[in-house]
Amino acid sequence: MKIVSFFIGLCFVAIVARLFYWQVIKGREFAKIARQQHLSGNKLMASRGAILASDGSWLAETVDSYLVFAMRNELTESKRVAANKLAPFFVFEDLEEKDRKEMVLNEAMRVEGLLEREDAVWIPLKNSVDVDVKKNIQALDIDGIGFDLKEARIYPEGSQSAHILGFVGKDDEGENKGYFGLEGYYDLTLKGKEGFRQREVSALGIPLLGGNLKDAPAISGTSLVTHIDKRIQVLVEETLKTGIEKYGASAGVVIVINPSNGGVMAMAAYPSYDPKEYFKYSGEFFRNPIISDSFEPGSIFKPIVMAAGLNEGVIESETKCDICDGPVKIDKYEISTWDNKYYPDSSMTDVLVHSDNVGMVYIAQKLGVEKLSKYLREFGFGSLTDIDLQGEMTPVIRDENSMSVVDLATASFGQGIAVTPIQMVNAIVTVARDGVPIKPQVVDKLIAEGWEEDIKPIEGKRIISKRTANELTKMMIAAAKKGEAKWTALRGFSYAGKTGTAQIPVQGYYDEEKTIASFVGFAPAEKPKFVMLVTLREPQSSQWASETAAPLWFEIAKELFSYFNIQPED
Amino acid sequence: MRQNQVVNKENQIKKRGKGLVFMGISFALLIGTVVSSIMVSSKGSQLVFLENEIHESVEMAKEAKSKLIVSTALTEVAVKAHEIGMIKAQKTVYLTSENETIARLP
Repeated sequence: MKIVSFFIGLCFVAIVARLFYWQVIKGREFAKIARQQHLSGNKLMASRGAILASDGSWLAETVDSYLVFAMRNELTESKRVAANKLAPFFVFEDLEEKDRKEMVLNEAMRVEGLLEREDAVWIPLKNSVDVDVKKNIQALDIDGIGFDLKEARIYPEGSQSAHILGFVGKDDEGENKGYFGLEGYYDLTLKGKEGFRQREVSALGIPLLGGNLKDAPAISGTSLVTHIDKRIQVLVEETLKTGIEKYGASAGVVIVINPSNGGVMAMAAYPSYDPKEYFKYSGEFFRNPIISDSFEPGSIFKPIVMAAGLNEGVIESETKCDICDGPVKIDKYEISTWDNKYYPDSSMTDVLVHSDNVGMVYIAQKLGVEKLSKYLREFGFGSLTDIDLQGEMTPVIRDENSMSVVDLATASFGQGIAVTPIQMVNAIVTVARDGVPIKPQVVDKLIAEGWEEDIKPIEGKRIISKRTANELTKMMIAAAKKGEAKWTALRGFSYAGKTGTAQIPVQGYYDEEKTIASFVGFAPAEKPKFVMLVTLREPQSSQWASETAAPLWFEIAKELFSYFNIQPED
Repeated sequence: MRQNQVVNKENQIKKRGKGLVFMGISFALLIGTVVSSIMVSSKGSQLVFLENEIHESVEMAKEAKSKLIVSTALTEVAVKAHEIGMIKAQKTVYLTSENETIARLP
């Protein structure tokens, strides 16, 4: 009896000792393991908002993609066989048969090399694999090959609209982040908020009803509906590309704005890049020259100075220029016309038609530094337009105190003053809107689940009177129809415009050979549907805008007339 | 003495009766617990099944959407249209009417 009692006591002590070990010594560790076993938690991904064209079609969207990985210790097939099976699915490019075979061979060698690694168990093999490729690989039924769900940003139109859209790259912590264009400007809006779900599960991983549940649903990113009209965008991109090849230009930009609401309907710059494969391009490709690069506008600037003169009442459209019979001397410089032709007693309309530099100096002298400076600032030169795209910059313009008589004279015909294409086109938008400026906008609406918000157009304070705007429009109609670009003009249609050929300043001098050719205008002249600027850098076929930028402008305009159902007037 | 024996017997019967009731209740509770555990577990399985179905549906919707995005791209449509022989209009012809023509009733 004593032995039995001793044995029972011993067992009791052993149990207490074991319990002490489990509960006290290893208590925390086991509690943690237990929590992990019966609490299942997972992160809920929040997809990035889409960027949509004005008709609701996609410009950028987030889709599922997969990372293919191998668990080395679970691979049953030989590494070479597995690599040979996988390689054909890892070559995405649309290649010729011969090139494809070579790529597949290289890919097989790369994958085999990765699988041979002794230092890793989990080996990533290929990123950004789409769902079809994933299904094809799954059908091969290779043991030890798995997939991690990732997100990929796709741009269905490829490099079209690249400068408007920007791209999604990684930040310092490896998280997705938008850079440049809309992706950069609206990064926080587009980015959603990740969610989290944690709940109690049985040993088999089945959720326990009534158990603890922590649920914070993911909030998807807000989508952007833009003013971009995909048809116009594609037209502009293709025509610009063809134009650059045809005229041998090194670069070019086109921007089309709806003057009724300031909405950017199309914006193209060349050279461009593919936002999906942004990492293949160097940084200079990402800058949007329309909002970031400045240039001397040349004669397309003349309507702005003319507007100032008309609005101040220092000139009328029929005012005679009494210095237009020859070159004009300002300080130690002599200012002549672009073609060395002079028209004594030209009217102001003729000054614009002939793009007469001397005539423009006449207006600038009548205006004076103070008034010209005031109008330049009011038209938005020297300050940001606040367009909703990341990366906008502005060149500084001289203030009235530092502007000499020479600066005043050269600024009147668009030299010695730098502007960005968006500033230039926006100033002409003001003329097309009868003198009331408007902020250029790319995004029209923000939409999320069950919620949407309109982004209202933002008008500024009137700069020139309606009468001045109408007068200037008539002068620009004459300039487009009777000026040096008249040979390329579209007969029967109503439009207003101005050519501009500016020399490029290089190390303090103007390069005689290199020019920037531009044409800016709007149509129809009354109640315009679009304002468009075309700029070509260093065209080789001809240095003149009338033979390069103007025909390109009219080529696009011809299609837009048809698209907007604008009928010829006669 | 005999009377005491009878009382003891009665007490024993009462105790046994109480024990039986206790055992009965305990048994019922045990059965209830097992049944509810099985029910909760099967509901949990159903939940997993439904969640998997939702997940599959979402996946299918995403797949369909990504195919729609790619196939409705204007550049893609232009290539397809060209392949089936559609050619973009080269010239726009605007019709003019010299005199207004109005159908007249006889």
